Amino acid sequence: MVRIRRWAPFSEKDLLLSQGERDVLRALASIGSGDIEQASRVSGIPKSTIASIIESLASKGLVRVERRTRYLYRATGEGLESLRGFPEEILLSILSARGGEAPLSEVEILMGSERASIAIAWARRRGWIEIRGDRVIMTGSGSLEKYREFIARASDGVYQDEAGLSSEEIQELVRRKMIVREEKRDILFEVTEKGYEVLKGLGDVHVVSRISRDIVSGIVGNMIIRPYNVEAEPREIYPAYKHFYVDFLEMLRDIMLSLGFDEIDDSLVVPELWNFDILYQAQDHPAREIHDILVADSPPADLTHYRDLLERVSREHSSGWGYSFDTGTSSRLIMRSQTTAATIRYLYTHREPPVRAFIIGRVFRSDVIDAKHLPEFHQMDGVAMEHGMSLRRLLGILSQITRALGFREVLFKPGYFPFTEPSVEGYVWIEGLGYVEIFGAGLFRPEVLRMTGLEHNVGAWGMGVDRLAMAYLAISDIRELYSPLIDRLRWHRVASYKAIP
Amino acid sequence: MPVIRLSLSRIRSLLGRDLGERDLEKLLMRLKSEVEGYSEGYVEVEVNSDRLDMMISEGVVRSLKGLLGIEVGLPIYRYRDSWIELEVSEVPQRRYIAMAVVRNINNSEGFIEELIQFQEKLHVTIGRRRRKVAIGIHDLSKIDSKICVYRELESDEKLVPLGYGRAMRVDEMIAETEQGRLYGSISIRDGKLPGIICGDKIISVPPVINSELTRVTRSTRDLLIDVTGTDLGYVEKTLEILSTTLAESSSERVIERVSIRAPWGSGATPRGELRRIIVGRGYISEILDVGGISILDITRSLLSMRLGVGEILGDDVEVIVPPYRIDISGPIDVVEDIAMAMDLNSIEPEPLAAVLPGRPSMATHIRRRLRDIMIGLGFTEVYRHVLVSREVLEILGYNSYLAIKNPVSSEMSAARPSIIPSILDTLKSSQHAPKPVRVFEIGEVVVRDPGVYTGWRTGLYLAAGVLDDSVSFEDIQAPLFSLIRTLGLRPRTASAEYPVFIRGRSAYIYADSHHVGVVGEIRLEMLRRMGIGFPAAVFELDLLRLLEAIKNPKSRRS
Repeated sequence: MVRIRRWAPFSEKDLLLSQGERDVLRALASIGSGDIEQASRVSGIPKSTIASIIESLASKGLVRVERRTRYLYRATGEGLESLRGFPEEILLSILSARGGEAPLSEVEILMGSERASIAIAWARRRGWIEIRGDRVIMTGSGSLEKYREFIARASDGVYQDEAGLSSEEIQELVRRKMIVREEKRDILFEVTEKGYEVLKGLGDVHVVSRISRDIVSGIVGNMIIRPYNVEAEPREIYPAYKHFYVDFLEMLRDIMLSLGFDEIDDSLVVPELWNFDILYQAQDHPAREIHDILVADSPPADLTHYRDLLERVSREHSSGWGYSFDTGTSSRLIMRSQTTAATIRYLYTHREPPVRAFIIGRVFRSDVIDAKHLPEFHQMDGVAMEHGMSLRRLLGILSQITRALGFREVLFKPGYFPFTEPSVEGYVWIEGLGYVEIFGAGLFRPEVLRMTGLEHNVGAWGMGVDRLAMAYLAISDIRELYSPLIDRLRWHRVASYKAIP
Repeated sequence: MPVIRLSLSRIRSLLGRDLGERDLEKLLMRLKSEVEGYSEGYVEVEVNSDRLDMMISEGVVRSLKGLLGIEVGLPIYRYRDSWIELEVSEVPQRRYIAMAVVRNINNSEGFIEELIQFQEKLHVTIGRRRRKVAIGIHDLSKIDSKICVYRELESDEKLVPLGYGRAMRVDEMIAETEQGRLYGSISIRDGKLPGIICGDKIISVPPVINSELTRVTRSTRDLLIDVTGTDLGYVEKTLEILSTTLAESSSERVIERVSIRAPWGSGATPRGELRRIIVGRGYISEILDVGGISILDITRSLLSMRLGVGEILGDDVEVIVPPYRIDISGPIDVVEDIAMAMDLNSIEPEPLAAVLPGRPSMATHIRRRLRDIMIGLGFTEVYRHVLVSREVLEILGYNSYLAIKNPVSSEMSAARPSIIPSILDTLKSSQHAPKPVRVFEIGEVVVRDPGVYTGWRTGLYLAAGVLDDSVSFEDIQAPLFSLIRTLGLRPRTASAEYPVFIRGRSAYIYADSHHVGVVGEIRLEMLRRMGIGFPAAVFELDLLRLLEAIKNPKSRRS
């Protein structure tokens, strides 16, 4: 990750330097001017680092810099060979030994034909020999000492201005591939007036960037705190989020708890006894077919503990619906398709009023998967059993719940559910959607009460929670409630609960 | 719930009044029906399946008349004997039949269309898709014999099926007609189907198709209705609904009874029986609680719902129920009708008395605490489904789980026995988000438990996962230990193998010596098979066990 420079100057006038910059300026001032080599040496800072510090000081006008390119010459392997004598010098010594002349062929044999031709060419150029016919004749002499001395120095590298040779002479050596030329970029610095002034003014002040414990406890003496570019943006980080749908369910939970309802819990896998039979839904009712419920791939439940209940259920179904009740169907395991399976089971073990209970839980249906439907979703079911439970009181509870949810009014309509009579549907007005049914409710039928073993009327209601959540959270696709995408979770604005008029 | 399409002009003409759309909607709401929409002179209504008599304009108008005061109390039908006699043989595969005649119907524009719809809706609902009950409607004038017989047909007997231009053998009809293919197998026994024959002509092959001979047309005036099925009660109830509702379309309201001689007895149908139910004023008050409902109020309400009032003895009212109200079986059903007549929105809801706040469940208690701690540790909360892919469970090494027999999709074909599969699925979808990805979920799982009467226990687990460019065991162990300590327990991990974790990087979790979960780094081949390109580490806790640990701190053992 790239760190953006955050340190900023107070103003144009105050050139607040970092400790590092100050140290370098002081070092440079000790020699006044020089090149980068010298700067590095005197400051003890490596050349690679000090170059940028010098540039920074230059941008503040404290140092003048000049960039120059110098040529450096280095001896090649060939060049180092010639330290023992240039080819044309060797030719002269051969000729001298033969009294000043020799046949060409002999020279070629002694020097090798290639070297011989180089030697002859250069010796001729220098005016040291003549070729007459097939004989090489010495006509003059000379020394190439200064060349050799240069090459020797060039084994370490020699700058042009320290060469001691003319440019033509150097070019000659380059042409003969005895030396190579390298380009060297160099920075020359010179401390300015302003630089000296600033140094004088800084004195012994310690410039603080990151504040450390020492600084807080006052160990460091005289100091100035560098300002920070508070307007630049920081790196991006993310908080951990609570899930928005779980928050919604918690809100519903709190509403029901505040209205005096105890929360209950139950299994997701139930025998049809609880999901249908005790709720007086006929065993050949279309809703119980395999295309409406999710059937568990598991042996049936062991209902021996519920023998008495089964007898009651069987009797009610046979006399009321007029068919022969099948206990096998009763014990078949399914994923519960309504949370009423949980509330009725709770009442089975809590038969004395007053009982106020609710559950917010998952239910399962064999449903298509699209923007409005899922095979697994949430429902809320509630029951109230008390002396004097009536339709009117039930309507009162329902009005209270809808008001607590934020709806100003609820429209009641007669409804039909297999296990309640009278039955009611409740509609609320949602902007953009019109009247939306949010719950179904009613008093449990006498058959249901008899089967469960209850002697008091029970008001019951059920609500599809996912749809309500979608209206609240302005979500149009039910699948978003269970999304696996963490980015969506990170960016969801928790404060986006719609206030529903 | 069934949605039917009714002609607005038919409704208005049967009603004798020009009812506006808003008023129609409001009235239908009071009858448990909801208007879904309008289209070119038609209204789409969602009718509650307990009011099958309202699946046609005649039935709807009968009810509307009561609410509007146009015609109140019991609808009156005139019963006569028909000259048709029905002889019934043994038809084991579809035992029961009943027939009726309705005279002089008002067969105006749109009637036949609605009649067909009525028939089909009844087939789908009470008929259980024709298995339990099937209906045939015939033009009586095309029947020239007094005697009709219901018996098994031979496969070579012939008829011209309704809508086909030529005579076919019965077995040909089953194979070649659409209805034959759809319904031919419902009531077949040794290759034989039941048939209704009048004179020497087959008029119907229930539940498959009628004969072209008795087709109902615009010129039909008298209807012969047949209902066959596997349950006598349902067959007769269906006939009551049909005969009384269709009789509403004739000004004379004449229903002719067909005499029947059958293995189960002799008589004539439809019986047109009026049931009587005694309802007490006290009972009505108790249920509705509308503060002193008078006998007069009760009577008015009953009459507006087209119910009859018989004797009134003190506080008891004898309610007379017409034969088509098969949804009314006891006093409570009558009370509901009274509530409907009263308009629920006119009842002042009783305000809820102030009470103590309710208690959250144990699961909620523990979930709330853990949620806050996990957020504090920097883990983002996820919420997924309990149903997961069976295939994924197998890949991850889970072999004990509850499978679904009829899953909707392979993605939701089993109940998760652990939240780890959901966490990994979440990490897969989120792996390209800014790192590190740290998530947790608290949710239900379904675990095998032979000690429970269903064989399965629903548990509450917490699982958390970390995914990053590079992940170490400590990256998941540190927050885990922190969580357990924050709950006031002592954490410990003991090396143990677990299918989804890398060998040597897998452990059981103990909180105060209670075994509460597992932790480890995910196996590389499983990451690859799940399509996760980064290393991940996960822990999972059984919250009920954790709760036990909190409640029963065991003494420190070394």
